[in-house]
Amino acid sequence: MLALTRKKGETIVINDDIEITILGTNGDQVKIGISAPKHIPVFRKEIYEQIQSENKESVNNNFDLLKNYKK
Amino acid sequence: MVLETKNLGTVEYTQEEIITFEKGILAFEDEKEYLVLRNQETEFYYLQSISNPENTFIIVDLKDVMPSYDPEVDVDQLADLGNIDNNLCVFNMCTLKDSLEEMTVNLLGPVVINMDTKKGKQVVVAKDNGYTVKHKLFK
Repeated sequence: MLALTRKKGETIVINDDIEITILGTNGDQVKIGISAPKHIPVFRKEIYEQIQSENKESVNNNFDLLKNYKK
Repeated sequence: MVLETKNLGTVEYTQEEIITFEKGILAFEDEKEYLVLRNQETEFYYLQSISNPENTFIIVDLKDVMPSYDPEVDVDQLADLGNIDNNLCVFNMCTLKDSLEEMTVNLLGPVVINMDTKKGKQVVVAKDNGYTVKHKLFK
């Protein structure tokens, strides 16, 4: 992983069209501004990880239980 | 065509019924082709992997069971599905383990399918609105 040190207000540019700016810090929290083309989705990694892990739990469940379902 | 599935027995299908997930679904990125099969006795559907006949998911159209669900999805995320003006279906993945009462549904990562282009994608909602990946369907 590339590690860069930036100060508040400084920016990193990725691939000409993505800009990441350090907006500020507060204790161990870092506020980041991201400017990217609309077709590039930006999400917190935890959300992706939650969905990945839930998908793994959703596969091949107890299908027989659906037989007890009443509309 | 015929698919010998592990969970649903023998399934017959046609080329037109194949839904292609170009990016797979999260954690199953290598499996690109699926069938959406109705569970005739209930409001649920199955998302059956063709790429790996051992993998089946339970999915639900929440319009039927949770009408208040209103996911906000960035239109740009849907660009790879082709024309999104019509015939989009939204399903949510269910987790059913010990009992029906404990069944949960993933509200953060809906599966969007364009029934015209037969392309599907699992997207991440733009705003979580308090949604979780483990929402209890029957409270």
